[in-house]
Amino acid sequence: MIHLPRSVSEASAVRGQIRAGGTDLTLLRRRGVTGGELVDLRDVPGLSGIGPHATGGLAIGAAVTLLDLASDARIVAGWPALAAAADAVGNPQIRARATLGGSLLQEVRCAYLRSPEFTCSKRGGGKCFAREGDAELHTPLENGPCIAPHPSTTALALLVYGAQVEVYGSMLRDVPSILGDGADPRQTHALLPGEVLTAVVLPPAPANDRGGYARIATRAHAEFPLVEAAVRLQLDPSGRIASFAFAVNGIANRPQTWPDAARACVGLAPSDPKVDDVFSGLLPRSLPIRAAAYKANLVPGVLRVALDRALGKDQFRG
Amino acid sequence: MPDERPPFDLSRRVFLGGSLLGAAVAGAPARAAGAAETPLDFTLNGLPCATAAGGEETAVDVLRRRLQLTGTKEACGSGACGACTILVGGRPHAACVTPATALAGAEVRTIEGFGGTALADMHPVQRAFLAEDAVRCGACTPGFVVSAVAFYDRYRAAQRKDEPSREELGRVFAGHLCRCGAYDAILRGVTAACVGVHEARTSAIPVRPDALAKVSGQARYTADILLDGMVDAVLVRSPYAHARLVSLDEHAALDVEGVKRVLRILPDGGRVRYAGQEVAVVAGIDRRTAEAGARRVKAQWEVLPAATTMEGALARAAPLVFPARDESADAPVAGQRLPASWAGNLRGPVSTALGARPRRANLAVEEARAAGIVGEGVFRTAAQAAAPLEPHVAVARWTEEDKLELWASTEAVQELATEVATEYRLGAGRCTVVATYVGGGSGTKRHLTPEIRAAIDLAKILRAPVRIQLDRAEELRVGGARAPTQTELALAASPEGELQGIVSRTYSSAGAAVGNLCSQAARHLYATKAKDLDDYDVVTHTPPAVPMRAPGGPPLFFALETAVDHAARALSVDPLALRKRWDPDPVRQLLYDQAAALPWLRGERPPGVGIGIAAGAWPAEWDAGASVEVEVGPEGVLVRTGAQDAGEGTAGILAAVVAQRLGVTEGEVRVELGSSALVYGPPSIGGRTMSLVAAAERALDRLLEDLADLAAEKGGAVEQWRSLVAAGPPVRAIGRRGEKVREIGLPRPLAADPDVASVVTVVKVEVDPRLARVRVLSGWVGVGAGRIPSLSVARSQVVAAFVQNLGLALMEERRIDDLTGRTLQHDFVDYVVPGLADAPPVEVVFAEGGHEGVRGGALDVGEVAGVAVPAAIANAFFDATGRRPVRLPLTPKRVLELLA
Repeated sequence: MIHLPRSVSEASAVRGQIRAGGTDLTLLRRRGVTGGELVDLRDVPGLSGIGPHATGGLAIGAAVTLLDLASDARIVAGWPALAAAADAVGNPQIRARATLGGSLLQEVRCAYLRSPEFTCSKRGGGKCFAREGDAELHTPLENGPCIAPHPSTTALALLVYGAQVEVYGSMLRDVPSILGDGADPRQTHALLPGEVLTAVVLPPAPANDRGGYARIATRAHAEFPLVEAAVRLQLDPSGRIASFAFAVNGIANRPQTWPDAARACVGLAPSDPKVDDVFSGLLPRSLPIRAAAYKANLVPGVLRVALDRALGKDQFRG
Repeated sequence: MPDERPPFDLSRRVFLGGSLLGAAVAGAPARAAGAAETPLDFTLNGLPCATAAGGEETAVDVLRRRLQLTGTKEACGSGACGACTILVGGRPHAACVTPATALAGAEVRTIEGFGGTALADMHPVQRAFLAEDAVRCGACTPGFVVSAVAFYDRYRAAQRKDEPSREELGRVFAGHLCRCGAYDAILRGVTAACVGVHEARTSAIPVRPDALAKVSGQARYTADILLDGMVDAVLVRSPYAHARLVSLDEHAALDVEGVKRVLRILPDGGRVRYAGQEVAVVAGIDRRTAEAGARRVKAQWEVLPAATTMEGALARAAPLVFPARDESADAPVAGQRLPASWAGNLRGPVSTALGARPRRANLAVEEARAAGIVGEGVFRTAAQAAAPLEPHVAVARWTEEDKLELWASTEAVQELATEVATEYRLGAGRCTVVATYVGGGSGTKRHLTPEIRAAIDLAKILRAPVRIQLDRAEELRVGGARAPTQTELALAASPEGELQGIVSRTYSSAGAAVGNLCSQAARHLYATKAKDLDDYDVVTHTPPAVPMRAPGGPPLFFALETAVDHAARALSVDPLALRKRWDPDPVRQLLYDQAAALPWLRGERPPGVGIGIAAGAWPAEWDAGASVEVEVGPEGVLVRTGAQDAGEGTAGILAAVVAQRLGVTEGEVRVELGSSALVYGPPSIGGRTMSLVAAAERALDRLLEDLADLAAEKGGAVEQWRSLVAAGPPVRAIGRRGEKVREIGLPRPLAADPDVASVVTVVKVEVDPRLARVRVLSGWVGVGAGRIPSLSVARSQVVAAFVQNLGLALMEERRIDDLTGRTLQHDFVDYVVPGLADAPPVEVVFAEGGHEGVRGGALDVGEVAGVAVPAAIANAFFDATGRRPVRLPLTPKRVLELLA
């Protein structure tokens, strides 16, 4: 049964599966991986704008498409890592439909989860099939029974900006709080039934903020990355790092950040090999998921490329 | 085909006044229970359209099923391939993952909205695609055209003066896949359209009739066949790799509203050998209803231990895939089945042909190990799914108790008709198979496969037309793949740099199939040298592989040509010069010389950039029965044969051959293909459709003789045949290729077999250690395949083979769960194939001499062209990094391991 609510409160009241762009949900429902009442946000007004927020930052409606987000001049100028990340998601046809909200709250790409024949821990079964099967595309780290990489490229970029989200039925929250900690495999995100993501709020962008995004995949475009990184930094007048944040995805079931390691780079020139040493030391030597352990060796490279892109070298558009 | 419903003619399609609303909704089948419909109004190609849709329906459902606009293709169901691209508010959308509800109030444009079927009515983008020959099997074409129009509009609106770069177009078309690999031509087409080359509607373009239909979305593939009262069916497949069916309960499926029938395929007690094997089939009023029913079929299984990997299958006490001899005799064949013995799950060896001096070869390797140069290693390649853009699909209709019409996406129309007639005991003329357009196949759509059989059986029982189309997940699972291989190869060279012998042993796992002939491919290169070539099958409980495009070729030449490259390094000889020394074939000698003259072989290379070279050879397969009928009359020139065009360019090649002899343009030649009612045409397997060249030449010989007689009778010249047949009845002649006849005494050395085509491939790659990525920057392919009847078709065949094998080398790898034997890729998001941005510019050169002894003079280029690509890429990787790849594809993980 499909519902076409006309307001967020109506949408919230149904407590069904929320469809915004529908690019992934359509396919999951068709395959019988997921089901239940369908709540389509098509007729809910006010979710697809980009504009100033009371906090002084920029509010992006949850139903803003990734195409609009990536090409918005304010975002490209002020939050470039987010624009670049959004531009790398899927392909042009997908970005024309896929929304920021859907990108944040989407289901993981695990092949086992997406086969109706496996009832894994994420679907209420007892185990993770990837752990005893093919975990090459999974995560070297574990922070819960599920070892599927977090699927959201945009979440990664929002983390380096310290973005917040507006959720109907709750206060302004930070991004990690809606992603959850990944401990409960059934939890794709931490929104409760009836909670509807309505907007993402970016804090004000300082002048001269630099950002970059990079991913490692087999194809040039349009593939879920093995690992991906977003960085954001400011340089002092002498060209050294004044402030720094970075995040990496693909190595744990939630995007990872290292605030202490980022702080340790302050005062270094971005090209200083010591920065690369920091990147190389982020992950522990011993990694629980051996089949995916190689990904740890992809992390320094992807961060370096993202950093170079933030500095205007090696430009990339997805 | 009789009383097939005609395609909608856009000019008659009146959306005003709700007339279509009535027609479409009344014609639409009822929905499965629980799927309420809501009205849906939008603007379609400039006209108001009122219809309705259920909440789970997609834009492609509405367009294809309700509105019967089949120009929008459905090929992947996951928004990754772009075949279903439409414009919504001017932006390209993937209709297969766009909920129908999203169309409400929108401005929607589909391929049908861009012009008619006549060249003069077409959009500049469509004309550009035709002019640049950017159309092969055509399954991706409408989607590409739609995205290209959106880009063209933006480009023209911005009044840009620059040419769009390859990189920019790589991003613009990131959501499109062309499995034929026509990216170079598509790129040229989009560029030409953007810079305004095709603005004039009168521009003369040499177009093939099939291309015209494909570029306008009017070409009707099997999946586009719409018949009154048609029923859709879905196969129920085994979730287990090895199991015995205890019982099957279809009651719950039959309870689904709209489900018409559940038909058993596997009997109780029947054994399955792979996950995905067909168990039953469920028919319903539409595909979704049938899917809902299929999910409710409950099977009880006795699950048996399975061997899903090569190692597992060879382990002590491994479960046997074919426990009984009579079972193994019926095993599907993934290459060619030659006699061999079994030991458990191991079958073989199939050994080298007589006269190859295997003992000498082994001795040479021994000697070289002691004092010489040995290039050796264990080389592995992954399973590569054929994954044609149009999946396996069949539509069956019985018109009488013993008369069958079958539309099937098949690469072997005539063979299939014979197979069906034999199995269903139908007399002559009681079974017609039609495949007017075939959206690719690479050798995997040959036989009476289970979905075809199920459609035929259900159609008989239900007394209604039945369609069965595999979805992308099924296609990746059982549609057919190139078998994974493991080749132990050693190449011996003397300290003086002479090639002494080659020993190759290949283990190939075609799943529950046999027929590996990988090592045998080495017979054709360095032909006079001593060789020991053994092939083994390791059968496993995984879906049967198929003989996909040049089966065994790319894996074998990867091993062999890597070993040659190694020897060249060890001998400090230029790799091209070494091949020139070792390979006596005169055609390849010519190609080596041409390759050596390439400017980009010279000069310093930046760090991370490398150049690799590899050679290959591939034998032609001929079909003596191949026949062509040529007719000239008041209507012009008509060429007919029962062969099909699965993207290899059969229509274009025939048009070129006939046009040349009759002195007309290719556009004036109508080519009718893809029906078993026509004269016999060969399958699109092993390049056999090239047998039609000689058949057409023979038909033309006869036709021209008849015209000469007519000219003598009426007075006039043969060259003026138009006036000779202008008034009278058409003149027609049939030609047959006939048995192979070797002309003797041609000045070619023993080593050169005129039936073997040649290739030399050079690539330049860039290895980025930070992103663990290999990018092919450019390619050069020199092909020796005799005369080239159609240069544009041959060029696009070569580029296609290059792109497909680039996929094998760098990204394509079917993944199967070891424990369950289940395929872990469901769509083109998981199973990645090269896109436009992954394909480099490829220069193509033909050496046309050296095959004059072959009837028709023209060998297939599609198979040979790609066999050396993986080796060339691997050698270029070595040149760039000093590390030698022995395992493909070179995914980031493997690049990382190599560079560590």
